[in-house]
Amino acid sequence: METLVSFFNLFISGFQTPTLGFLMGGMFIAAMGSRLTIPDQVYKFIVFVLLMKIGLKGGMEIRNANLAELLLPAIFAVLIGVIIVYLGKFALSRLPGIKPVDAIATAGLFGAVSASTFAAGMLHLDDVGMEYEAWVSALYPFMDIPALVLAIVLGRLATEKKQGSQEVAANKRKAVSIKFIIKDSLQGSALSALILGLLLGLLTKPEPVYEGFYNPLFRGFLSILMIIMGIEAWQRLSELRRVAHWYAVYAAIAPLAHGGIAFGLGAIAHYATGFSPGGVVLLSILAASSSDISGPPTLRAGLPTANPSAFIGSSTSIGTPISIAIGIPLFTELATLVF
Amino acid sequence: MKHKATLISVLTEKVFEQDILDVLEEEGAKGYSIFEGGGNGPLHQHQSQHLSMVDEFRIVKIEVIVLNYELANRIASRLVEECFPEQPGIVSLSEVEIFRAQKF
Repeated sequence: METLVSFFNLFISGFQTPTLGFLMGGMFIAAMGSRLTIPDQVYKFIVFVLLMKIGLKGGMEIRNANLAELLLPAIFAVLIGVIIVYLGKFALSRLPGIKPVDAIATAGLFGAVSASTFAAGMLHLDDVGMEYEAWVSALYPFMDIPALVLAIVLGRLATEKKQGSQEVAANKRKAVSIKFIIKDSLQGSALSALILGLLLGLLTKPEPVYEGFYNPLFRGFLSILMIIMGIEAWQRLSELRRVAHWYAVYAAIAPLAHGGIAFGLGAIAHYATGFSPGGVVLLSILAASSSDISGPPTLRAGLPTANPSAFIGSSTSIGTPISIAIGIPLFTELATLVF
Repeated sequence: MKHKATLISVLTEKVFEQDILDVLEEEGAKGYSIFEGGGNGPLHQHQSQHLSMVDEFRIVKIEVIVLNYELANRIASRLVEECFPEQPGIVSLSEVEIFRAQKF
């Protein structure tokens, strides 16, 4: 009971933090029919700065870190990405009114990672004073890429089975290869920025520019990003209404279930190699989040028959708000209880 | 002085743009124009006016004019076969009259 009260208090105080409050604010003005727009370029720039900050911090810390510690969480990150896709495929394709390829694409997007949710999670841990390894950001591609690759491979198998291989063979121009999907994910805006930040942090000495520019901007930029995410979440709801309602149910349950699985695996890493509680929380948040920037175009290119309204609608309008509003405080509270 | 020519027009999503351009380049149609926009498809609404987090889902219209009708026809059939076996897209040919034929 006390735990419930404590979680409830945390949730209420969560509404007053810039992260969640601004997300709700964005949803509110969109619901009121506001014509406020924030230009795409601004949004892209903000995501770039946030990921550079996360990458730089991670890179600077990897310099002094024992890389063997990274190994187990990285293996778990891959494993989580794979489990999420199979779990989603299994759960969604059993529900009425859902095409197999749409189910797989949606599961793939939920297996992939959201930069904004991850940034919000890091800020929350900073606020509550929970320590974490900054190299956790390096786990991002380990979860993101396997989930997208697996989803596209499974999705292609599902459509080929349906159409017969002759027709698919006509698609000579872009025979989907694993190499191509990996290249496409790495070239996406989110991963490019993160990897650039990691490399610069690792190979150069960016401390002055990090302390003077990226770090101070982080909190303010994240608050603007949250408003944008809120507006987008509300606008995408209309798309979600066009597809089966089961997507909404999946999108509401999946982030917490995925985070729970990651929390369990993270706890194993905690006891085996001393992975920090904050690291376990961030691993859970990576798992709970669903990609909103680079995942959708990669899936669209790889699985053109999948309905984007299904996967973007469930991810952006329900999955992301749930993982930010409930996932982040829930897993943080769980970590203080368990460890 | 007016000349008859064929306008090839392709509507698709930005994410598939490069495939189309590859075919155009291979066929020697090197001068093309790309217009970005929005609209509504059977599955998905492509935003044009307001914020869209995923830029690649915007609609693009690629237009190229060729003098030779046979070439236009060949390009159109290659596009349909190679670029749109399952991807969303509209390929159309229309007769146009151009000036300055030496430009094409």
